[in-house]
Amino acid sequence: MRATYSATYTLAFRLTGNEDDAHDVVQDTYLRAYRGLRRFRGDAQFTTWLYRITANCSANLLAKRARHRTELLREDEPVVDGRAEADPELRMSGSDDRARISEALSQLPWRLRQVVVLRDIYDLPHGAIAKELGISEAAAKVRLHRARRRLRDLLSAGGGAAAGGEERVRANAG
Amino acid sequence: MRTLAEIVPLRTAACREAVDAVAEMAAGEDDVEPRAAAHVRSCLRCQAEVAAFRRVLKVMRSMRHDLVVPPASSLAAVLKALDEAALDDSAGSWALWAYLGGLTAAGAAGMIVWLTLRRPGWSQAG
Repeated sequence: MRATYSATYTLAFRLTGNEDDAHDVVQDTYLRAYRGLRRFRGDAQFTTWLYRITANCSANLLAKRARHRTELLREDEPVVDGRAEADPELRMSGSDDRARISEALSQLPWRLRQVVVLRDIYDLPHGAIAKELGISEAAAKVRLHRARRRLRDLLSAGGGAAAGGEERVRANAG
Repeated sequence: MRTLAEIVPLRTAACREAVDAVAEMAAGEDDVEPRAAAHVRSCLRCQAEVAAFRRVLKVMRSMRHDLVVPPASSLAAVLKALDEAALDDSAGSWALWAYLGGLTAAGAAGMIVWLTLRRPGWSQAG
């Protein structure tokens, strides 16, 4: 559990957008994983199985919360960069792009943020996303289209992540 | 390479219709609507946008390994909840065994009484 805790918490935080909800989701996730461990078939990675439970728990929690309030808090927690070190291009584009993308993601409504986080950051298949969020695969794809459109608009309006990265790479190289 | 901020204002009406195809092609998905895909392949603005969005996606995929540091108390609280769940489960399973044991004992006792009552001579003796 200790080995997967930070990664599970990170996903819960990205999906919910705040610490308190992330904690509730993680606790629910591990309780469900503990009780359902015998059902883990081992045909997927253990982390993928945990991510799916996390997605399902967060969808349930956010749907419940949505009945009581309109939108969630912003994602402003600082992040610790892990694997970017391994890729020179990503290291050069660095934390500015990641911060802009995180900021843009935090501005998406939670229903759109969930699908784009699960698909474009965690690389879950459309079918798995649909199942864990309790929607049809077609609905998941429609939400993903909307989320990506909003994300690109936000990034282009803000001067864009991916936007200025290449120029900075060249400027740094020169 | 042009940036999203530079490309997005240059979109034509045809580009705007193909906006979802741009994202799908950048993500390498294979169920792109054929007419939109044909426009993207023939349009330099859309191709530039595919390249720019592909770069966004590359950064996003790498964000999977950026870990948010959980509050120090969080792990301890979850471990405590798991311990309590394990205790509940073991208490629950003990109660189940006790219940089944009681049922078995009651069944056995009932069977003995029934067999005793069926023995010839029991009713005559009474």
